[in-house]
Amino acid sequence: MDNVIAVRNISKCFPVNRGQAHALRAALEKAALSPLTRSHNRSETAQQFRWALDNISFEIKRGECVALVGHNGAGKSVLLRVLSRVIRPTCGEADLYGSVGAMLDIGVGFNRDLTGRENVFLQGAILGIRKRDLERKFEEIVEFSGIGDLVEQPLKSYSNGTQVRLAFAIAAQLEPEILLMDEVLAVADEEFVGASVRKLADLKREGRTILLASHDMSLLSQLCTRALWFEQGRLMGDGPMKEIEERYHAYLHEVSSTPRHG
Amino acid sequence: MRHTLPLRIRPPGRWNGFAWREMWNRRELVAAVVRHEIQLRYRQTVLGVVWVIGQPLITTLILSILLTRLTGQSHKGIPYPLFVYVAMTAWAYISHGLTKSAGCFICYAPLVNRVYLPRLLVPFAVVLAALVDFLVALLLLPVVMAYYQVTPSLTLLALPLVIVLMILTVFGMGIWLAVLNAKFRDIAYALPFLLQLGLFSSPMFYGSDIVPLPWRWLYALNPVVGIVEGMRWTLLDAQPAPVALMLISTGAALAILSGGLYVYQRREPTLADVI
Repeated sequence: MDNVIAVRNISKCFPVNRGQAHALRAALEKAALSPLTRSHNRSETAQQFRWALDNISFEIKRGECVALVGHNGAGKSVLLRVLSRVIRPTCGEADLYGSVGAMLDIGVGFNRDLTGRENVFLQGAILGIRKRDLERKFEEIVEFSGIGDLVEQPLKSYSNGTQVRLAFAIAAQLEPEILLMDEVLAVADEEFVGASVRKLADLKREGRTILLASHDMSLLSQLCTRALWFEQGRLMGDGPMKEIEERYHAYLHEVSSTPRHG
Repeated sequence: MRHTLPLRIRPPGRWNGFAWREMWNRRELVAAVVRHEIQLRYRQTVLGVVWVIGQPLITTLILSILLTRLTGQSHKGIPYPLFVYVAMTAWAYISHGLTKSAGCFICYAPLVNRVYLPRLLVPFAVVLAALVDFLVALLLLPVVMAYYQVTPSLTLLALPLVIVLMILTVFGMGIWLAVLNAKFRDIAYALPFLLQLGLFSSPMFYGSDIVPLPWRWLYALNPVVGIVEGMRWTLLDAQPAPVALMLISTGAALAILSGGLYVYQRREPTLADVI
């Protein structure tokens, strides 16, 4: 078995955000009160955490393209952030075999006041693409993004969709062995989504492994053969794309038809 | 079977080792962030260079008039405007560099919580970018020196050492501020006040010989003392050479830097959780 990703019992818990302004006061209060009210504080702190990932385990083989589905806040993005080493898990571990490229957001580090060209080099450096390679592939990036002469204009004159095009065109140059993608194509137009899907299909054919989180089932069905389904930090299902899609839709139907209280 | 070791992701441990090699591999990021900082600073502000020179210049003018009135024309043969301007260019760098690094993880939040990279490079790049302002402000110095007919001597060759000490100091303190400010945003609000204290407790408008000799080593534990006296020595040939002061200040700066690296190393795994 040629596993590229092996995730074993990964959990991630976040402290529930009570506003950054209170962080120092809370820390001081905790330090001041802890010797006095230790037992009392325990129960209080227990409520201040939220498990964004709850004991997740799975394995992914080389060349698989796996969809991550589930509601907003289900844990898809948190999982991708853990696998791309942006955040560390609270417990459990994961092994990744091969270079990892992540596209968790559109245009990380894009600056609205810099031109498209300047942003290409800034974003490339952030993603870890060598400057030499960027210079060589610059024309290709501009062409794939389809932004044309806009490349010399500041980014603030771009529409959201155009920014996504540029961001995806840069990230497509990463050519990692493992590609992690969060919902980033949501604002792109159909034509560009089509081009992106073809690009991802090429990467897949080259034997690269792709994890793709999205709410767009038709996009996922075009690319993915397998899906992982998350709800409230738990892995609800792991199986063929078609089967998971059916179960997910059935679940959605059930949730929406159940009358809500309160 | 593959022979390459996997990249293992695990919970934060007590000590995670220092990713020197990884930082070196990502050195192009530093260059990119520095370029970006400079592009923005000189494009968005109409008077870019004027601000950079103006801040130390105006402070110098006011202080020089004041000091000349109060105490005479010069400090041990160095005209007050030069004596103060040299110190103020260093201070402008230190205060600007510290302010920028305190906010760097928040200013560059997507680099912390949307992508993986060695995050220590962010404060480092910000501190280096601030150095450009310092060098621009220094360009005015030869003009003022020519006016007062002060010529530099061979001590000028030691200027790079002073600048290295200055970068180490600002980077060391900057890491502390950046890491603490990520969790406790109060730091950014407290900083202007702390900088004001720093300004008055450093030899900006007086020489450090104002401090009695038995206590001067204690005074030099403030690295700014060694930097400012070093600047005056290398640029204006102020005598005597502040070797002891600079050594003590360097020791203090290295201690602050080590502490900062330690704090960073402990906090880095949870940085993205709080940004």
